[in-house]
Amino acid sequence: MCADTQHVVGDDFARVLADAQGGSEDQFAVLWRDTNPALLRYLRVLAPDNAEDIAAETWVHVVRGLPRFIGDEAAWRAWLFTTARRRLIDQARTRKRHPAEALEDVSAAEMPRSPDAAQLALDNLATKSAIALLAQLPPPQAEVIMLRVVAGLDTDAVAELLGKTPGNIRVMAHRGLKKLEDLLGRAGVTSRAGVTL
Amino acid sequence: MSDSLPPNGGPDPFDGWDLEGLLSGENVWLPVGMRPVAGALDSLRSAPMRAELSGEAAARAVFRENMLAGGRGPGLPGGGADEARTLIVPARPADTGPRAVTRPGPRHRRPPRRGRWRSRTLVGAAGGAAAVVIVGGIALAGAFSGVGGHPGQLARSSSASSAAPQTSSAGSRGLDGSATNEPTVQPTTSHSAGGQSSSGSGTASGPSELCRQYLEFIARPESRSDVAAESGDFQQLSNLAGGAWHVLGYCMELQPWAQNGSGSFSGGLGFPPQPGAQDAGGSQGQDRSGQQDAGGGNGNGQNGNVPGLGNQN
Repeated sequence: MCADTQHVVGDDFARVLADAQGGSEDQFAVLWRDTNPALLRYLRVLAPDNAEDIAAETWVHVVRGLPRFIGDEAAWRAWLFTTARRRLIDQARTRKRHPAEALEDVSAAEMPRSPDAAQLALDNLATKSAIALLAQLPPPQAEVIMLRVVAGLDTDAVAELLGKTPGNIRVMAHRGLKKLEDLLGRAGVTSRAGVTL
Repeated sequence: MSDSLPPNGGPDPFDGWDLEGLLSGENVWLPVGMRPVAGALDSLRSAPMRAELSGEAAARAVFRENMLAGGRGPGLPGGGADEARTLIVPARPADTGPRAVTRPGPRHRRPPRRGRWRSRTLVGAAGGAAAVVIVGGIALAGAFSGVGGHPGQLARSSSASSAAPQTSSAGSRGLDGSATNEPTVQPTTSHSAGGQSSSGSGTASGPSELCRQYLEFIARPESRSDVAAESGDFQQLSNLAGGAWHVLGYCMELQPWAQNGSGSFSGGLGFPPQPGAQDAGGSQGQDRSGQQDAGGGNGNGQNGNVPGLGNQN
């Protein structure tokens, strides 16, 4: 089991990637287990209704282009999330043209911008609650934070992925974090263990 | 403390805390209000949940199919153009002989529409035949206009005359008997000398004979010599055909090659050969009639030597 969602493969990434490109299913599974949780969390913040579908479609495209991929682990993650973002945009366009899902089909815990989501984050700050909390941010800010925190991309990579300058990325990240501070402050959460004072 | 720099553009907007360190998950100093935020971000980085790894089997299956397909997705949505052009040919036994390789033609070319081309050809041929008929009729009418003026006058004169077709009549050289002065003698004599089947009168009494002479005249208009006789023949043919403009078609239908479907005449187009080119009979004009009758079987045995039409030498 991975320790967290960032850089699990580490130094062995080049070998794992080469084996996966050569057809090793087990090594591909290593790559998948390394990045799929982060991918799902990123998508659940931005598209909570169909994150699994977009993730599956993303992996289809990634598998198709895997033999031609060249790069290190950071590039691999950047490529994966770039692909996911494109699928996300396509999905949003499709859903905009064909709105079919009713609101009652979405669970209350997954509904963005609902009062219950902030309350869930206040309860335990667990992963789902944190995702629901991030979902209350404006999408650009939430996306920047998720790409920085979950995907593990640096500022330059996020800027390139989103087509913005690094300064814009920093400003958007700062505003998003301040927004989170405000949300948690209004809920009465003021401190948490584990943070260096 | 992270050594990353704050963003450009004026004074420090981060209130003194390390933005990059917080986003990277490092243990950095944070104000009290930002500590819950750091905890939320740590939760986002937490270990994967079981549900987030439940799709590994499906991912492996996709990977396996892709590798089996040689790096191309098996009919996946949004696939490239290479996938659409991939043709999977089933394996054939080795002993089935050589395989015919068929290559599709260029896709930018439209397939030839043979049916349409053929129809165009037929229409063109029919148009050409109609043009020949019209031109022939006009030429003949012009040739006979020396007697009757223009074709309209011919039509009027023919309609005014007797319309009953005569198979045999006296004065058959000119069909009117009065138009010829002298050219009729020699063909009659030659015909008798040739021993061809003949009534001995030397008249062109049948429609086929009239038409034969008419067609011969069209083929060799320089052979006309007796304008009066030609005019009489044409009037009779006009009566038979129902009008001056229908003479050519009428005569074409009466020709033996048109009735039995075989072009047996050596003169081409069903016309008798030139008198000088004949090798049997030796006579002038009469032998041509005999050949026509023999070929078509509908001759009446008349020599059909209308003066001037069959004798030009």
